[in-house]
Amino acid sequence: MNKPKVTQDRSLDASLRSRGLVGVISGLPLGLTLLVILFVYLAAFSVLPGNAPTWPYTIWPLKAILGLLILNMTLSTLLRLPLRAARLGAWLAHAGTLLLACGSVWFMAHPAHGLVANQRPSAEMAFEPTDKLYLDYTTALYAQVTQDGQGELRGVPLAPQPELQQSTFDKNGGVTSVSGVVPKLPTGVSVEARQFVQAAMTDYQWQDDGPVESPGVGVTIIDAQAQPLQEVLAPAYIFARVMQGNGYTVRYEPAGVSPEMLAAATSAGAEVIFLTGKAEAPGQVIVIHADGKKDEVPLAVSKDIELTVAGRKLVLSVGQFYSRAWRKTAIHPVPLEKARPAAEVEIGIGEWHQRQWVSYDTILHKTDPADPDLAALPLGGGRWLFLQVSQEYRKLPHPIQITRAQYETYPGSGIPKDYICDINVLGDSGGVLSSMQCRLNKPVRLGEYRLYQGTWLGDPNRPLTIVLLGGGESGIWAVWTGMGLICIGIPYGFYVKPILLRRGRRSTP
Amino acid sequence: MKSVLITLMLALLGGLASAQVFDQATRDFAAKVDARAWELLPAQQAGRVKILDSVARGMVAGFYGKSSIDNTGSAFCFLEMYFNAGAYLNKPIIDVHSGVLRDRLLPVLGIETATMLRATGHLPPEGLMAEESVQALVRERRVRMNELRMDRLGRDIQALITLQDDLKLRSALGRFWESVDDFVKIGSVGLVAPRSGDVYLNAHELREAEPELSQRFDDLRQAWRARDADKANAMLKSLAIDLTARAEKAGLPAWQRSLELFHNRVAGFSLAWIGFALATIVLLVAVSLRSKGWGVGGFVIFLLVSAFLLAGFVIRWILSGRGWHLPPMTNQYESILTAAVLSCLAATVLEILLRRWFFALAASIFSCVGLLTAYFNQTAVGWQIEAPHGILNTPILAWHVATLMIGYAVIGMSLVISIAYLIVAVSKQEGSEGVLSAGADLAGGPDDAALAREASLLADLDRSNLILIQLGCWLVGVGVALGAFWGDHAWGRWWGWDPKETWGLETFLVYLLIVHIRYVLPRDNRGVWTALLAVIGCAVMAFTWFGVNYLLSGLHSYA
Repeated sequence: MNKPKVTQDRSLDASLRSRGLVGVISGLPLGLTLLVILFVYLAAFSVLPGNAPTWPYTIWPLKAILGLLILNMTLSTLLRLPLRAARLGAWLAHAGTLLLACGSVWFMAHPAHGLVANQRPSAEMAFEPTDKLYLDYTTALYAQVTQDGQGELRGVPLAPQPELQQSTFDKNGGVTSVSGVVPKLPTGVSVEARQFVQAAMTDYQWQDDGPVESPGVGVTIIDAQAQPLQEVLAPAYIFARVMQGNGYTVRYEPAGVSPEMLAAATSAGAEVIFLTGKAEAPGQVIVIHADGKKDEVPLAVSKDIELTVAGRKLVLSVGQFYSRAWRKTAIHPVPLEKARPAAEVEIGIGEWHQRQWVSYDTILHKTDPADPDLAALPLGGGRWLFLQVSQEYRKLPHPIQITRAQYETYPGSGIPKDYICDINVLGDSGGVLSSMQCRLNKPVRLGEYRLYQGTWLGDPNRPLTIVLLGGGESGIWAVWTGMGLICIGIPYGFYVKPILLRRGRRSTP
Repeated sequence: MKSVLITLMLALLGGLASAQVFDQATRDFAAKVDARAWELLPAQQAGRVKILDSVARGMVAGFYGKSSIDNTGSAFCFLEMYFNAGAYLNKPIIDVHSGVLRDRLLPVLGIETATMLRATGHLPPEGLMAEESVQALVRERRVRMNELRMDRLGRDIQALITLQDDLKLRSALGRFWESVDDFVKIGSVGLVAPRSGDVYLNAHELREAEPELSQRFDDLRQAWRARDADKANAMLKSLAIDLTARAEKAGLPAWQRSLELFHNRVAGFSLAWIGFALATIVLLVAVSLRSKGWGVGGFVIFLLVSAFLLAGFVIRWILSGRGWHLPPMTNQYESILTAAVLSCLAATVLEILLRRWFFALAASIFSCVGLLTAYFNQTAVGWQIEAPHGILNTPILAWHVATLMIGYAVIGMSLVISIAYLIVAVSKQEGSEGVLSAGADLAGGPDDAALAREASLLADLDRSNLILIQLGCWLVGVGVALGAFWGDHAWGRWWGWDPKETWGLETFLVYLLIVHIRYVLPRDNRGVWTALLAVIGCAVMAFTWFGVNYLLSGLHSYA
């Protein structure tokens, strides 16, 4: 019964050998060669310096080797291994490998691994709810136009992290061209990424070509008894409205100083220097002393003014008046680990178009105009444009809030035993939909994601931030099924096949 | 010329430097005082309640490199450092284990310290630790890990190494600081079971919590420092009785402590290497002579030693107190022990099924080499029973590690068979050449029979090798898959190209290659190529098992 099949196999083999390219591609010698190449490739890149870089495993040579291997295995299975009971092991193992490869491709094509940062302002306060899963392999440019602090956050992914990592090999400090337009911003506002750099030091300078009317003044105060103060004051930027130091405050009010402002400064008993005026209409220096006395001196560019404030002799000089002041960020590319990534962004506000660098900030998106670290532009009428480069995020199906965090160690030691978080899943109205507990080796499921214990910042017993790891599971069933088939197919081929072949030989006359 | 002079001066001073740490008075005191009275005393260290013998062996070996200084015994050394640490701040007691680190340090050390290091391989704690740590140590205060600050020498060493991008050197430095840390932390070992709660108290903490008991500790300290052996013995004995009674109330029974002492005396059962060496010799004779009698004898020895090792594994499991879901498989020593036990079990099953002596012989050699390595590198592989990191506390770990360990074990066994195959194949080739040259005169005869015997032996070895290779291939594959499952469960990703994962895959690839290559090789060459590739495969497995931990950085540093 079996003998004709063996003959058939041999003739099949012979016919394949005569088929040229198909015969070669489906042949075992090619498969074995590819296995050797794969072995050498993985061995070579696994010993690269650094903390196990992953980019060698995402580039085309490895994809090509694996693709050829899969092709070779599929063709050899289909053309050279007739599906019979004795061949079932090879079929299962090869089908499992194919399924594993498909699952891996599916998994890699829908990456969703990152972290969920749960924060609280102090150890005595509750954790704030969060619904953001920050992906750990993709950066994104975010823009937000706010009116009175309200406005939708819009983002566009930059290049995938592995590709950006490779750019650090560039001799120009790792600057890579990128492109991405932040979608759905209000009419008249556009933001587009142009370049990306992995490691840069950021710096800024004030310019007089901003998008909107925004008066400012560059002022220097030389105090013989203390360090000179030098700053640009631009009231549109909340953080740049006031300059403090050496026992007095300097305020710039381009439109003039109202009686209420003077009265408030006088009643506070502080030493205040008011500056007024603009480029086209130089104003005054008004000094309010602690005893309520007021001095007034005309203010002009490049004219030193001598003042006596808080009992100290000062020299005040104006370097420049700005009509459309804006703070433009620039970078100095440096291949240092301490430097942060940054993206160059082209901003369009009406007819105004400018490029500026936006530095990588924490994963948390802030919209506080008083934060001088943020890239923020006044749009006029109480509107602001905030820009940030950070990890790309996905929205979790529901916001979550940690209600209890417990760090367990073995008695009398600091060796971690478990980390437990009680989590509330919140509904749209803020009500609790469900509660769950996440601990080491016991992840929890939230829609399409699973959340795992990650790390914490601050005192482990009273952390200010708890980072949960989150992962999607696209294609994971194919991965597990593939691995399962391999694990079944191999012993079938090793141990069942010989039994079947022996039985077949015995039954052959 | 200058360097020659310095070398000569160092050699001269090195010769003058004493090789012994303890002075004569201390050695005399060690001979009189009965420190063993405290060997069974329960103590808490690194998150586990164990007997003082375990703590002493671990910590003394931790900072000194050997579990006893000047052959005075672990317990005495521990107590000497517990009660009299201040006397050793300028003595060479911190082990600089790595030769690479020693070579790097010698040129930058002061001449006296360099001489000490050259002569003894150790550095004094003084200069390494900051003043507050030294003060805390002298006062036997509890010194926390984060209180350990470096002094000038320590900072210089750290700065020197930080400038080097050398993983081996950094690893050596990490181990060196662990040694310093072990010395510092001796004073913080909890020796007194609490009346409530689960944290044991050290001598310093007793002062506020239990002044009366604290006074007894102070009296013992004074007697110890005064080298008053009679008084110290009496105090040791009475304190041992009281402290043990308290610990037994806290739940550490006498049988468990005795079992732990036995476990320590046989070096965590790594002493089984002697039995496996004996079994190896007898089984080698059996295979060489094809003698059933020797074979049975060797197999019986093998079974007895295997049973001893299996008992050791179970005892360690019980002592670890981790529960049945987590067998002792959480550090390198435990992985060696597990692999040895599983290789014995696999060999026993295969011998029962197939009745060849190769498997028992291969398992004997594999276990002997593994346990011998562990026995002579106790500190490096960590044979002490410790509390596992929380991430390891899952049954999936047991399945993942056990599967890989049995896979590694059969791969190790296949190495033995492969080497045997290659030796026999070479001798057969030489024999056949001899027959050919002599063939003109003597056709046929006894040489033909010898060649036939060798051919049959080669066939047997090849079949046995194939069985082990197939088993190893499958088990490594399943082990890697289980690791992926655990990674998905614990870290949220099933694959991350961590070096240990990558090399686990590499090992699987090599064995897939061996299994498939047999289909394209001519029948005559299959055995040789299989044996040669199995040798390479075993080298890859060994790199995955040990090399990755020391040479590549990743997530599996505990494995």
